[in-house]
Amino acid sequence: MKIKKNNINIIIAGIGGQGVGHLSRCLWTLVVRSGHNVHGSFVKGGAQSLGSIYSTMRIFVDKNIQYENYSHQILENDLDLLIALEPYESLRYKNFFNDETKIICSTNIVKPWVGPLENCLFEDPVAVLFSCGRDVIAKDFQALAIQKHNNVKAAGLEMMIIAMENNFIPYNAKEIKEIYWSSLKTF
Amino acid sequence: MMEQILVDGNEAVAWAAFESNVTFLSHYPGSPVNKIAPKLFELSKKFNSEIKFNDALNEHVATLSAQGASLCGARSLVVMKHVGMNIAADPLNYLGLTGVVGGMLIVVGTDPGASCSTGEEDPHWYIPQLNFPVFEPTSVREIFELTKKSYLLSEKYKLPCLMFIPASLCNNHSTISVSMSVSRTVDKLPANMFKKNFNLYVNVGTRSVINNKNLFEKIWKIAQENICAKSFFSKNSKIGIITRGATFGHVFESVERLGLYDLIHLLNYDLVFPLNKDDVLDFVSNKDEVIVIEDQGGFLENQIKNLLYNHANVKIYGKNYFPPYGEISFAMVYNFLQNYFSFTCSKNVADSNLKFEVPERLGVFCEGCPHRSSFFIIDKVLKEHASIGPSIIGGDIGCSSLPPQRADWLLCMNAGIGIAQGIVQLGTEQLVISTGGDGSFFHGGLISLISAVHNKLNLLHIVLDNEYIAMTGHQLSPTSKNSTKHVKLLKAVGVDHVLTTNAFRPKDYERKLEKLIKFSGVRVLWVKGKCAKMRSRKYKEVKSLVHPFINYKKCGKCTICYSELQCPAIVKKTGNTFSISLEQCQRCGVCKSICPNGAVSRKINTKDLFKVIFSNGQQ
Ligand code: SF4
Ligand code: SF4
Repeated sequence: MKIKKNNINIIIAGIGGQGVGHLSRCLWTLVVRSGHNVHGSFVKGGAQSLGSIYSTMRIFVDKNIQYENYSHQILENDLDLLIALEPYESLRYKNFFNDETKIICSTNIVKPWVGPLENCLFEDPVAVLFSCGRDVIAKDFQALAIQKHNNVKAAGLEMMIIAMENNFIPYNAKEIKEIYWSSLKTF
Repeated sequence: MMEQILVDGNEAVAWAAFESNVTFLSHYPGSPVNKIAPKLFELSKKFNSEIKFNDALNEHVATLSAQGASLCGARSLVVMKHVGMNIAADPLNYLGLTGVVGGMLIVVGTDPGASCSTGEEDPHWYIPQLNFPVFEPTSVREIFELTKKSYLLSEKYKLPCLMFIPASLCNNHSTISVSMSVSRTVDKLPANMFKKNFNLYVNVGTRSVINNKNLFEKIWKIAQENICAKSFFSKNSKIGIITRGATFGHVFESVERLGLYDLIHLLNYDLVFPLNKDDVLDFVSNKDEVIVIEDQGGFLENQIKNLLYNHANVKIYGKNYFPPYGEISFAMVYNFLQNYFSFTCSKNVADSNLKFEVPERLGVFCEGCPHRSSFFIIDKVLKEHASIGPSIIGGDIGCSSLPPQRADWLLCMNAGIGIAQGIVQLGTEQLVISTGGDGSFFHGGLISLISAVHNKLNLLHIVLDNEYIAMTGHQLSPTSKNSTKHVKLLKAVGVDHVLTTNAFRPKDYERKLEKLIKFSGVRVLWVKGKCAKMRSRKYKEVKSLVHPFINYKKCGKCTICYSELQCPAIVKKTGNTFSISLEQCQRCGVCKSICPNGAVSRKINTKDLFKVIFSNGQQ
């Protein structure tokens, strides 16, 4: 039986305070402006900051698809693009990876607070990510954001630009930049 | 002029309420519906429309105040989260009996999977008792449409409507079409004010039975006259699936992706109560099996089984396939349908090469949070009293419960002060301290405290006053503007001992806590300490001029700042040495105060600091 798929599935993951919400809303805006449809969800959990946060996005390029009848969730093995602002957060979505999944990950590690269970942490979570054998672009995007914009939160923007320049998603890097900076106050 | 805008589920409710001429909103903030009130407020300002906002201190007040407005002819909106329905249950039980004049909608945020709540309680089981029409949208656009529809239904039958929206939909996004010019036909409050109606509003004696009878008749009539549902795929199929809310999308997409169009007839109810019996009978008439796929308990399944009892010969399944707890995921539905139809195509299971466990991030307080300091001191004091048996600490929901391991129980609001009363009444030798935030205190904690006074209990309660209802989006609390004089209030209700301290002054805190432990009677330690997220601009300017650091020569490697205070800004280096991340540090000064070796020091740019402190502007 052939399994059909007619959309692009994206997860943006990070921890509270890294700007996952803003970045997601920017991409949502760009998708809608481009005449496509999108839905998905933003999951913040209970924590105020430093907790795991992610948003799922399902982009439907074909306007004729009744996208609102579709699930807001992504199936396991069905992820097209992961943008992870922190290496542990990239690993959290491993069950969604398939052979084609593209991963852009910032290498700036924010160790989870695990109390006395410190031995459950990885020595090098970035190495674990590479060991998953997927297509990974990893660098310290937070450092890049500080260097370019003097704003650590712009790390997500830089990652999104990479995704667009590599044609992982069919949008224009110039436009996402414009939306990102112009919406900083309004979103 | 109509415009397409991108909104989330909360904003969709606000826009629809605004366009439906709602003139009264009351709410108690709670995730996932905490952004409806601020959005409606923003719209009322933007379009210069008169809407009354009641930032109620609990859901009971929120419901009754909206009922009052509705009885005056205003369209009203009440917003609360699922557990808020427990607090509102008493007035909700009378709402159907009095009925409404202006349309009234109660929006309840549900949380299957407890992604943003302490529990995932299923509020559907209130429905047969309340007898209100209940809508459950399946998309953001439907939230917008059904909100509007509910006001029409409410006014037609003079009954309030309920709408349940799960967290996943509240945080979903979609485009809706709104008018950016004149969206409302009513910009003033209603001219027709309260009209007496003795028979309906004085619900005593035989009248209460008559009103109840009328309510049953109304709900029966609504069921006869209204069907709000959508169906897809093969009408002739022998297998039917019925859904409500978020599970609809999982089923729809699974059917499409698995190509089951000819094998399944899918029906989704948007109006999930009351159901039209003929419609259900019609759907099942040619089916052998019907599977009800819904989140949480089997509310829809039960209703359908009740309606069909002795009327149809069809097998109804539901909760025997899907659990009544947690969120029903897309993967669960997809895999279920694959198994059900015995497909051999690739199953959606994770890559077995990726079998490592990723550590969960436990909840932590923000850097500079007053509660971190509070719990550090409470733990310290309790340890010192451990000789009389393990001490007990009653917790409360909200930010103070973020690291869940800090309290001995975390249940409903004010469970800290409530459960503690039963424990102390048994005369335990153990030291019992209950805690709760300022939001909880005004929500119901004050009554619990008065009850403790009334029963002459030996109770020590700590109010963690961060000046905001921080967890749900920093709504104002009665203490935000220092408008409530807590000492006067507590003395007036008969509390025996009241002391006030500050979370950022650990030594004073510890001394006062020790003092209250020695006293007896009802004792309250009121702990001030502003939420770290709500610091003033001036504070932030000062912050950049103060650089705390750990002096390695003085550090005794006791690890207290790291492992007991647990500030995320204190970073562990190799060999039990620590440093402070200036980017994360909020300059609260607590680590400096509690370090037994005086190893935390600060470099201060004194010249600029004075300039900032003595400059005019916000404090
Ligand atoms: S939001 Fe405020 S009260 Fe809540 S954890 Fe953060 S600092 Fe503490
Ligand atoms: S490092 Fe010290 S001063 Fe900075 S936020 Fe943490 S406890 Fe407060």
